[in-house]
Amino acid sequence: MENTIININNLQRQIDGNKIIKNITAQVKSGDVVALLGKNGAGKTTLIETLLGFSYPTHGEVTLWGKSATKIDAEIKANIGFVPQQSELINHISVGDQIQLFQRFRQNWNQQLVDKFIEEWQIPLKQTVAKLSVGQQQKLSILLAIAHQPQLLILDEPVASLDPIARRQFLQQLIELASDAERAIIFSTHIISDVERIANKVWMLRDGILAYQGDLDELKESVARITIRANKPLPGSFNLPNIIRQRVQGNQAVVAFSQWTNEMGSQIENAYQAEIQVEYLSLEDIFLEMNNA
Amino acid sequence: MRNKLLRLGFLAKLFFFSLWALRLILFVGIPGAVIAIAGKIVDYGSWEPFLVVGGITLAAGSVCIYVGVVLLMFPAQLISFISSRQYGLLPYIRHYLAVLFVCILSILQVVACCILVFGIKREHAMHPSLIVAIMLIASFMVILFFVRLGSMQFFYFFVLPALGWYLVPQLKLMSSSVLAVILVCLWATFLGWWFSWHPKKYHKNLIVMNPSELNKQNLSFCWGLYSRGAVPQNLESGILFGQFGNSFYQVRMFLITLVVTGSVFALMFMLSPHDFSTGLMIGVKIGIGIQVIQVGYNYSLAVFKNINKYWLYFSLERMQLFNAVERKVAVFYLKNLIAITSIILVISFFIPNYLPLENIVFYVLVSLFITPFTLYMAFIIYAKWRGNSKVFNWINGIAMMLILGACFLGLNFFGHISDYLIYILIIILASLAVILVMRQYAKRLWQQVDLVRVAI
Repeated sequence: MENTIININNLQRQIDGNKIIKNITAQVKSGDVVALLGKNGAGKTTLIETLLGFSYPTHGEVTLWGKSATKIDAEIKANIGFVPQQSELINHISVGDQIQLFQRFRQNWNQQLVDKFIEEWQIPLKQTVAKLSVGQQQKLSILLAIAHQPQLLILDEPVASLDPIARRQFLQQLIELASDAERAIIFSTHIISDVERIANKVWMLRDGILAYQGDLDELKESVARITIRANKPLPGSFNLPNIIRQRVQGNQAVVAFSQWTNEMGSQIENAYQAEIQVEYLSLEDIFLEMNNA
Repeated sequence: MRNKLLRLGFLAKLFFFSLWALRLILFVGIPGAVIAIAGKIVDYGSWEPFLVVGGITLAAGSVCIYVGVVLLMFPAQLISFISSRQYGLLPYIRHYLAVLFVCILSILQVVACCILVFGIKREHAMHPSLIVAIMLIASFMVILFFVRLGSMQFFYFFVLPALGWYLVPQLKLMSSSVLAVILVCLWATFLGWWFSWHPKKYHKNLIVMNPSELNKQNLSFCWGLYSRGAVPQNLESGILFGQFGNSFYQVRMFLITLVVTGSVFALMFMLSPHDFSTGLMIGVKIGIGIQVIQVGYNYSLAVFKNINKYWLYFSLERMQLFNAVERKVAVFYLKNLIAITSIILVISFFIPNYLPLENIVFYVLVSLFITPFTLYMAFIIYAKWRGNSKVFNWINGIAMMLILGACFLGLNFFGHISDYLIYILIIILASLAVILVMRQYAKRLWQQVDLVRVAI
């Protein structure tokens, strides 16, 4: 049975007078693997920080397992794994000491998983954390975030510094973690192919607004780019529902819809006496359309 | 050549740091001059000498510091200049720089020589001018040598005076012809090395770094060096204080600093032909004082940097977080203060004349006031300026200057404690009131604080 892990209700977040997050309402349930997509500065990290209770919402509420995110207790925190964008490890101790410290502190510690990753990722246990490369620090952060097998795993651009091999190994592990129906994963990324590989839900952030939230498959089935060719000039803009983006030039227009149905196609054909061509988009193209790129 | 250098932004780079020093003149020198002029023009009665002398001291002191800083920075700037990527790719630049060295050192030599000759009214300028030239090139080489050592760069501040004390009396005894040979040899050695030297790319030059870069460098190197092998006692103290989450290592760090600075001072003392023992012991005393006083500072810095991580792992709401961190800092700080004070008391037992008990009491008292001040300041800056490390650095920089001032003034002041008991009581009460107000304000801000990431 699906349990709601995160509940976001009309969330707004304002920093120094700028609205970073605008009226977001969403839910994350157990079994969800949510890919958080958005341009740089769209508000992904701010949203993640608010979900984790680091920041107070300016308006609205975020709850984790029913408790306000800013007031979650140790039991809930122990059930969260978080990989921040920048390493937040204890810098001047050895990797081995760092792992041991966390191991003593965490319940459900999976030493087999840790050993596996240390071997696969060739993490040098005796090396001081500060001397690790950025990619190796990222690997260690990921390892420490998943070693206690949390029910909620939040990763802020986890693969940005990983080499292709480590990225593939990490994604494989994430797929294994995601197979646990009790677990939920949220990860922000700019690598669309990763999203298609592991996510089942997509949140697309555009200027602080959740431009899309839903199933990945539904998104790919519902977003379409329509090319309209008419015999007479088309209006400057179409007044139709669910338009993401439109470019009109004389008798021809290219319009992207978020909820495309065949009935809409018939309506357009009849209204403008035009021919239409429907093209379903890849996730990357959807992302580009939604961000007017 | 001129156009080429201008295109490189040579001057801009060369004097990047001197701009920082220029601010010193703006903030201290100009007000000092204004105070002095105002003191002279307007009749302030018995306060006039204080204003005039004080103002002139401030103005002259800041100008001297500025000139000194520029002179000390100059060779260091050139090292980073030739080591940086874009300039390293340009051929022949080191030839221009060598010419520049010769020109600048010659000008400095002429100026210094004129001052020397006119100052002591000597007719034959050759002998002192050669000594000045040798000292300039030797200092220049010493600075370049230390800048290349990376993290040991700051030692040239200690080595240069020792070099002066040791070398100048020896040079005075030599004839002009021998001095001329030494000068030529030094120049030949320097230029030979300069043209064959392969600069390291991205050479880190601590001396010309801006404060935030320097802070990062300090954290990643100095703390690393001091806390080698340091493992926090547990995750809780580790996350909040990093390596300082284990008191043993804080004490070890204190001992290392004590031995290193003590050795440097001892070296200077041994090389000095004159009796500088009193001055050096005052230096040691102030050094120990700073160490004691800033025991708590490391904790405030660590809290500022790590508090958001701490929140993520432990069952604490915002106000509980405030109280827990306050308690933890107090416990760790007091443990370390007791340990460090005990060590100093032992040292004081062996050299009671140089490190009297009153001084130690004074240090501990100042430390007890400074620590809550920096901690609540860290809380306030974190909450009000969203963890702005620049504001934190500025405020703490000013606080450290005040500490230094307190060390200099307080050491003498404390000697006559019985005469000034009432003033000391007033200062203690006022400090307590300030700390209490800061605490209340920090608590108010902390109720809905954003636990932002801080890049220090």
